[in-house]
Amino acid sequence: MKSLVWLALVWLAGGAGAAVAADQSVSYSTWIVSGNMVTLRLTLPVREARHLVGSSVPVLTTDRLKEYVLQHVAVSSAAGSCPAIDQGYDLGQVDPLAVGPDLYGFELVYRCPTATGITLRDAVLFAERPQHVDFARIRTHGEVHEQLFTFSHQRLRLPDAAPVPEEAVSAFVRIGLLHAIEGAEGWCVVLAAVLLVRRWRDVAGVLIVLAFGYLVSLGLSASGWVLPRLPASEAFVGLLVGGLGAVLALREGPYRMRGLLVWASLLVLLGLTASIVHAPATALALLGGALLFAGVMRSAGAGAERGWLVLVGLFALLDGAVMASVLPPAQLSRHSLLRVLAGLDGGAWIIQSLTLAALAGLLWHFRARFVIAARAVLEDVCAAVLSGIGTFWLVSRLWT
Amino acid sequence: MALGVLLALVGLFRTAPLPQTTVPPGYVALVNQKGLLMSDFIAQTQVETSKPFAQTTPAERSKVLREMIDEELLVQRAMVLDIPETTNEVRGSLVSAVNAQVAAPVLAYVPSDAELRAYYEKYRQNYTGPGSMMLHDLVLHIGGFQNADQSATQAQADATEAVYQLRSGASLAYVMEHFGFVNSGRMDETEQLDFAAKLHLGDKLYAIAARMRDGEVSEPIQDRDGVHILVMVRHQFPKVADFAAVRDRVYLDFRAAASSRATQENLALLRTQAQILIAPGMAE
Repeated sequence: MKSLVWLALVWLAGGAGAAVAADQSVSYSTWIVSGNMVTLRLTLPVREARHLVGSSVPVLTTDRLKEYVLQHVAVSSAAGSCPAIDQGYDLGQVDPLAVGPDLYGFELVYRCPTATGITLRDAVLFAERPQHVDFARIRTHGEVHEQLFTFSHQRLRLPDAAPVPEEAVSAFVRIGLLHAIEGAEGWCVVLAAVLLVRRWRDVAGVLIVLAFGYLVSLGLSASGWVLPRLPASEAFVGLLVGGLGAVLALREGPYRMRGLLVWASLLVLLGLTASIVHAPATALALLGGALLFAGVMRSAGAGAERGWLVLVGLFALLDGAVMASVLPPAQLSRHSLLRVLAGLDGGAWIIQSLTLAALAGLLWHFRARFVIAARAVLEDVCAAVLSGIGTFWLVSRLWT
Repeated sequence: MALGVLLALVGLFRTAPLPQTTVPPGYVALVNQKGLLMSDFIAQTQVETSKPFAQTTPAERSKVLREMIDEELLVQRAMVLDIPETTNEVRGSLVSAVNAQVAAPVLAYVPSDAELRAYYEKYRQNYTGPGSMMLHDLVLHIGGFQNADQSATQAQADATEAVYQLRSGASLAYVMEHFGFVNSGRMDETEQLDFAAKLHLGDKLYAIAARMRDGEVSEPIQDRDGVHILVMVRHQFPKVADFAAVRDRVYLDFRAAASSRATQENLALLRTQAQILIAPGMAE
């Protein structure tokens, strides 16, 4: 038992690096092509800018970013490269824009020798963060279409006589896949689900609940009615992971009521603390979490084995909402927003579904060959780790 | 459980600011969600057409609205380009606008005559009429070609004697001839306003002339070109103007002072709220 505790602690320490949720590295650009002139407006979140130039002083950051941007974006045409023109006064080739408190904006104007064969190149941040994505809006021939610049797609050749085609949904699916692969929270939820399901019908239930959560998230995000409170939502994902671990550990054990009381008390305590530090919304969310956890545990005790599916569904909803939260600065049209969200949510759902089905299949395949005790030990270790990591995420993200 | 989910969702999401899709009452248009006031539109139309708004034609109104939208677009673009922060002319206009706004409530106040009179009494030196003087400026040159033998001590002694004789009633011509004084040429023997006399005499001589009365003869004054003696013919001292005569000026000065005071108070407040760092070795 001691070794199990140590194992759990080591895993918990490994998860400390993920105290802050895996942030999505994104930037936004608008390219306006008019004849042989190309105007680029590039917007970088402050977080990315600081990561790039390593300074928290806005003046220094702006100066260094101007130089960096000039070196990492380019336009060329059939007759050769297009120089960025000096914009007069003392601006130079890169004009810093005022685009909001959390963003850095820059404008460059390129003059090409000819209006044919124009190719856009955007290499901003890809060397430093290969997972970076630039949401680009390209206006040519009177039409605006969205494209993505990614590590593997840093150049875009514009058609001479037609607008730029829309980016394929598969590109957004790929981003959703990467998000799910890189997010430790998703893996924890899938792990918990694998250990909680008992039969293939349960697996189908998890897949449906995940899909439902992502669909609701898509609907909410596309409607534009609500926005997630980011730190609270990311902390709540920790609560869901911890809650799943607790369900796994306590659903059949004799300490179910005691565990329920401890967890619900912890959440209420955190909620009270949040309300004291003037975060009423977070306090409300934690109170809801306490009630939710109590409800799930009660339903488990009453023989309703699938109460925990609510936690999985909520995870999908929050995961989708957090993914969508980076999109507003891209100023996508409703149609484009739906396509992007469908791709992102679809990608995340696909990877989680495939992983869940594969792991559940493997587990059941090997169950016949191992003694039942081995599974019990595995469940205990996983339950301890999930509870620990989830609680850690919840507490650490609440106060970051 | 449902209540828990509901509470959690309420806590985890906030309502998003929905974009305005219709023009609200009181506005004539929305440009990138920024409203153009109907009252501004009416006023602008009246100014541009020189007619009451009701008498303007739809074409005239459309033209004015188009101009206002264009202006709003350019202003928004200027904000994006951060022009208020980077262009001197715009910065100057912004400073003036803020000062005017701060001073507006102060300037709206109409001071009573008693307040104006109190202000006048406090700053009455600002309301004096200019004085004038007519004088002779005699000089005994030292060290020149024609007076190479003349030492400074000798010149000072001669000047003292000349002053004595002038005060005793000797004529100017006699003294000049006897001691070798000449007209300095700084004053042209006419009556001159104080500022002109100061300009011509120089600060040192004017400071003495300003205190002299009619017919008075100064002590010898050592200057760069020799020893001077001033003989005041007529001196009209500056006179403080009556309140009634300068009431309009007092009123304008009163308002200017109030406006300046409001600006300084506003700046003092802004400084208390600001974090200002100054580079080492520099000072305000």
